[in-house]
Amino acid sequence: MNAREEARLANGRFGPWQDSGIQGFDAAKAELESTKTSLADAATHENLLTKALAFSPSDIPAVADSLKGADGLANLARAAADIPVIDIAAAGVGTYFGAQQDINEFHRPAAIAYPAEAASNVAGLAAGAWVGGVAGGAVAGLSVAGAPVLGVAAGVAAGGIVAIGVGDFGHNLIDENWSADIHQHGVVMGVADGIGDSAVKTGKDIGHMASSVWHGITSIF
Amino acid sequence: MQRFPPRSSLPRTIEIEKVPMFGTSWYERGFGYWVRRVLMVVIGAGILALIFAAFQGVYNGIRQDSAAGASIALIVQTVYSLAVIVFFAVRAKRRWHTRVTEPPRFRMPANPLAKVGYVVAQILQGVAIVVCFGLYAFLFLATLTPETIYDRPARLRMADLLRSRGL
Repeated sequence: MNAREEARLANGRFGPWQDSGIQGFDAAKAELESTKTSLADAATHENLLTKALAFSPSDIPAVADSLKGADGLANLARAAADIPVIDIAAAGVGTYFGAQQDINEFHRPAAIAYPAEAASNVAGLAAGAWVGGVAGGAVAGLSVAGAPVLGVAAGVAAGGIVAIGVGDFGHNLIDENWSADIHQHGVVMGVADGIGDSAVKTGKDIGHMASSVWHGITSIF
Repeated sequence: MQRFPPRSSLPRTIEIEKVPMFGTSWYERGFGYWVRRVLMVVIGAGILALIFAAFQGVYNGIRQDSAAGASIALIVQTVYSLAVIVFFAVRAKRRWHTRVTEPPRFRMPANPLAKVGYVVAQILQGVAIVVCFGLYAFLFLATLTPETIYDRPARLRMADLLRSRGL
């Protein structure tokens, strides 16, 4: 577009292209070709596993249609619709159990427990989706044979652990006894101590969860 | 490492490429770039700690069933992880001067049996890489290099462009 405008003469007619315009056009053409090659390659590597893992609500025609042409706040809905279904289900379950624990153990009102837990799980989802994309892209970028599958698998695994970890970290931050930390260590060190405490608890939770998953798998055989 | 002319002195027709996570900050490698690099390492360390906790949890689970099994799993995981780190490091070094990422080319076989074999092999390959701690360790180590695998190709392309324009 810029190249075309640059080539326009003072009288409004088109003259010869300038070097910069030709260079820009060539670069755009090369980029398009490269993207087409990547797309074609990705399509040949698509299989049931990658499709199932990366399935998102926006893949449903009705959802995709309803989001078409949406703007403003709907952009958020569009971004959320691109998060895979498995992650949304995990966040919903995480929010429910986290809020139930807050209500039963810490006697927090449901009106506070649910939004707080939902926020930490949504943060987990966003972090997981970001890490998944970065990890998957890095592996695929190294152009290893079968990289799309390796990339998706690595992205899903790293993103999943991060989504759960960030959600659980938020839950532990909510449950942390901040007044005791601040009373004992002062404001700055107390807050730092509370954050460190929540991080250590998160690591332990993930370890226990992984251990339980292992026992669950071995109990089947 | 090659230094580029100041952004303000670039001709209007040269556009600085946007790179995931770094935007255009890779061009000057100024304050904004290094803030992102530090954040990348800090967040990366947190992610690696979470993944380490998950692997440790599985190791503890195996140890509760069998101490010998846990020792074998630890040895296998260590050797496998080191091999994967070396493989990816060599791969990254070989591709260090590559400007464009070319996806590997492979055609799905026409034979139905070969097709099934290919899909099964891909699933196994996916599972095998997910259970390797070395992959995640490599991704973290890649954030510590002077240039990252994310901004390196953009720097090479910019150097080529500036050279071709005599700048």
